[in-house]
Amino acid sequence: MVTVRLENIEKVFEQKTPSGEVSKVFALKNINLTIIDGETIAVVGPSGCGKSTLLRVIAGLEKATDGNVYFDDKLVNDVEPKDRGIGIVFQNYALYPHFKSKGNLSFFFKLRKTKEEVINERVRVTAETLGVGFEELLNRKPGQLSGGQQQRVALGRCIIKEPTIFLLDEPLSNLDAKLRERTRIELKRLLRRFKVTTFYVTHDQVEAVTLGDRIAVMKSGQILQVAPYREIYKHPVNMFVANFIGLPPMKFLDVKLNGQKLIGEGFEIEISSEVAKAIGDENRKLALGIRPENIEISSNPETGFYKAKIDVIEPLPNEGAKYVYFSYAENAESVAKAELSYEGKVGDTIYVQLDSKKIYIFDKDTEESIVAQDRVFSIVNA
Amino acid sequence: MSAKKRRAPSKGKAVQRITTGQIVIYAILTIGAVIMSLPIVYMISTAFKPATELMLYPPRFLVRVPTTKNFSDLALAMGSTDTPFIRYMFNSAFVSTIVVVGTIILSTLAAYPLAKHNFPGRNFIFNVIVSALMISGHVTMIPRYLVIRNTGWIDTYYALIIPALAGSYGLFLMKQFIEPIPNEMLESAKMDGASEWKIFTNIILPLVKPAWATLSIFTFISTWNDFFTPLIMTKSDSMKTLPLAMRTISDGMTIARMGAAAAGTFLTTIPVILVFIFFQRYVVETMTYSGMKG
Amino acid sequence: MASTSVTPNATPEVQASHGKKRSTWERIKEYRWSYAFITPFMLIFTVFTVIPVIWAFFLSLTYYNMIQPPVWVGMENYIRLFLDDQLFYLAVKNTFYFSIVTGPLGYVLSLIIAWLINEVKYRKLYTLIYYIPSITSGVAMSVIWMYLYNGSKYGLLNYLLLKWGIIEEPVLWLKNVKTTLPAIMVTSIWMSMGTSFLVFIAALQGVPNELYEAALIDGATRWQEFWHITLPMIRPALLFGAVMTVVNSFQVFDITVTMAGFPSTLYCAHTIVGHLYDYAFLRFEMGYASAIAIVLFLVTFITSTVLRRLLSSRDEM
Repeated sequence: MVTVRLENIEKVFEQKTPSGEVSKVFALKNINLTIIDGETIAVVGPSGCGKSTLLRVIAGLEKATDGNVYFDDKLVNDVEPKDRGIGIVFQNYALYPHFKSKGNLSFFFKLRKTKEEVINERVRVTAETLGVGFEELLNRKPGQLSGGQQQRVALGRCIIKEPTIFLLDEPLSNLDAKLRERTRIELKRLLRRFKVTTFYVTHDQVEAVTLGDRIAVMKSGQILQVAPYREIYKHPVNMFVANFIGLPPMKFLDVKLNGQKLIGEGFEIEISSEVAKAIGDENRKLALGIRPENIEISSNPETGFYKAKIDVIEPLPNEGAKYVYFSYAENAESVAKAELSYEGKVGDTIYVQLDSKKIYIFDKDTEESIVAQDRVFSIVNA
Repeated sequence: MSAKKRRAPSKGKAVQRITTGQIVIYAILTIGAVIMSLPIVYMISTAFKPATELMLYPPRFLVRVPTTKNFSDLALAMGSTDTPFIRYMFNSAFVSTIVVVGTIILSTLAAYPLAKHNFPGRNFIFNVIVSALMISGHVTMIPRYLVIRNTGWIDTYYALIIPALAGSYGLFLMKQFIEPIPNEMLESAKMDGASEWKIFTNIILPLVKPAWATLSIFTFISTWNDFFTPLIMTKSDSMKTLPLAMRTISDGMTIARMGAAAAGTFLTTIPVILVFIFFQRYVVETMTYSGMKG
Repeated sequence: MASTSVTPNATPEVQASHGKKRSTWERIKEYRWSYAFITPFMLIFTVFTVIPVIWAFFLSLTYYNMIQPPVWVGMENYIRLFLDDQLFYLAVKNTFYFSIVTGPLGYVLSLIIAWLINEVKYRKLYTLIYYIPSITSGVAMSVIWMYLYNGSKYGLLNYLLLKWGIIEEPVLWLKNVKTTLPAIMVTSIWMSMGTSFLVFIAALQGVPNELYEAALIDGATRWQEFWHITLPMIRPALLFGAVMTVVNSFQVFDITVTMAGFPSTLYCAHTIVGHLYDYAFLRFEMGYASAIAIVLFLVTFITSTVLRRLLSSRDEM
């Protein structure tokens, strides 16, 4: 098994503007990332953020414009994809439609002129690994398989060559919701069992949370943060990560520092002197964020509670909760989590308190975190 | 998944509205179909008419007592030449077959990198080839003739075969067909350790098989029916193909030779029609699939 | 994330080899297989298409009789062609007359028929019947049409027209200056209707059914459906068909030469390609013939470009 190390990876495309000038577009910018032996890194980000390109650079399908890829201590920039010991599953599976499933699994060995008995044994073992019913798929062509079955064959084609690295590019996104859930668990079990270094690209944060030992959040070709889910959820480095991780997405309220208080439209919140010191300048434009579970709702006015109006209520029986979207004022909206039994209605007036120990404060201009719950990110040098 | 898509061509209209309009449409189509097939039916009927029926007045459309004598006449001699008709048939069949096979091989080979590899010069090459689609064969015919004359190929099979192998249309069709094959599939093969040649033989070739049918049939028809190329590239009678032979027959035609000429037409047209009927299924499918975009 | 760019393992040389941009030569080497794949095609294509096109331009500016080497004459061939060659004018006139009638007529007919076929069952059978004439050899089928047009009373057409009293004596259809070209046009339309027909059929079948259903729900009539849904959806095919039709109709030669003879009566069926053939392969005036070829090329090219502009609003085809 291997540790994958990416060092200053850049991928630049040159684009001709209509006026004839050549402009550079960074698909990947200054990527430094280490995937530790046996670990699964789940890469999330909006479409076009470069996560698939990064996967293709690791696979060797795409050459980086700059930077180095190491497998353990070996530089592999110039190693052919086929010699990198990689197993890959694509979003559209890319099964060979004219081969039966068995042919898809054994193509790798056919190319190496492996003996028939050896191939058969490998196919048998792989089918066993992939569980009940896989055997029956072997004699059918991809066109005769359902989406879920195709996905399993694609997975089989990936693991049969016993790769040292798994590269999975949104392997579940073409499945329907039910099947996706089941396959996610199955995949988790497989990854546990193989303990293979895995690079998992997805846009679904539930998948990322389930499968990733660590999560990497990407945006515009850059990795913004790499950490286990809890850490990213608790201490996002900027507004983008804070908004991207967590469901429903974090809402932001415009606030200003005033002494020991943050003042927003229609509400105020007391903060510790430490936090105030971290913000420093009272003229700084700030964004205040808070997770829904750290907001308390009351139907009566209490101290520290401010008046708000309910805009939307979204009941989620699965989570045993109701999400209450409310607004203090025209442009001051947020969302709180309530019990499923909560009885407020849209249009009702409520009173809301934000837990001052669990707030996030961002610089509105740079979007960087200043304070995230109990952590202070930067202290302004006076 | 592309394979699925390819197998199930989008059905046209299934909304059925059985109205008087529908009946009118059937009537128009059927009358049109009868008119369209009259000359073909007349040709077949005449090919089997005995001399007495050819001379008949008033002329009859359909044959009464069919005979194959016209065909045996044709086999014996034709006009001023003593080349048997079967020789022209052989020439046509031989040239057309070789051109079909060669075109498929060359254009599939060339279409693969043009569709899937981003090599320097790709766009330039492709644009040149596509522009050639709009240039008629007659424009290049004179220099082509001079090239062939310099190589000493005039009046040989080479002259009829080699220039026909690199047609823009075939390449264009193949490229349209290879383009939608997902890149990931080729990349999977690459990861499995396949060389470019293996990718071509193991993945590309089997996947474009349906396009072969279309390309084969169009290449076959256009080569088989080509009149201008053999007209200028051949000299001797034994190198002539069917259309040239038919032209010789049609010159100074008498009623007595009508039967033989119709038999010749029969032998010239029926093989093509049969080939087309056999491949029709693939043709419309391929054309729907390749979608005439690009 | 901080960009700590410490590189313990990479030596400077290694980094250099993955420098900013790979040179063109390296990319060419990387794609050597691609070049190997296209070489056989390109070789033949270059020798028999690219070079001849360039050569044709050159030849058209020379006098060349294939015995002596070409002599440079500048624009003389073109001047002679446009100012001195009555027969060329006749050929151009005939070709245009022929194209303007058979092109649009065949095109519209094949569109209507394709649309009708798409409305009914037994599509395959109808498609086959309407398409078959286009795949038959023009020369061979001309022979059959000559029987139908036979100038004596034995000709089927003459017989029928006499019987119905439309004409009083047999018409020499293919010898009479007035009737020759129209007679050939009928044959040509019969024979070439299928060129774009198949493309239309394929395109029509590619229109998603949901669109028709949506239109049905919106209460569109047949005609509205055809005008607002079918036509826009098959526009690329319409364009392709139009260009093909024009290019083909300008090439007319083999059926005129078979049906009307060469030369035809008073050159009444003389066409541009016929003129070209005459000068190139009967008189061996290759320079002059090349000038005719270039004019034919320009006419075809300009017409199809104009058509494309007219029919496409964007960058199709």
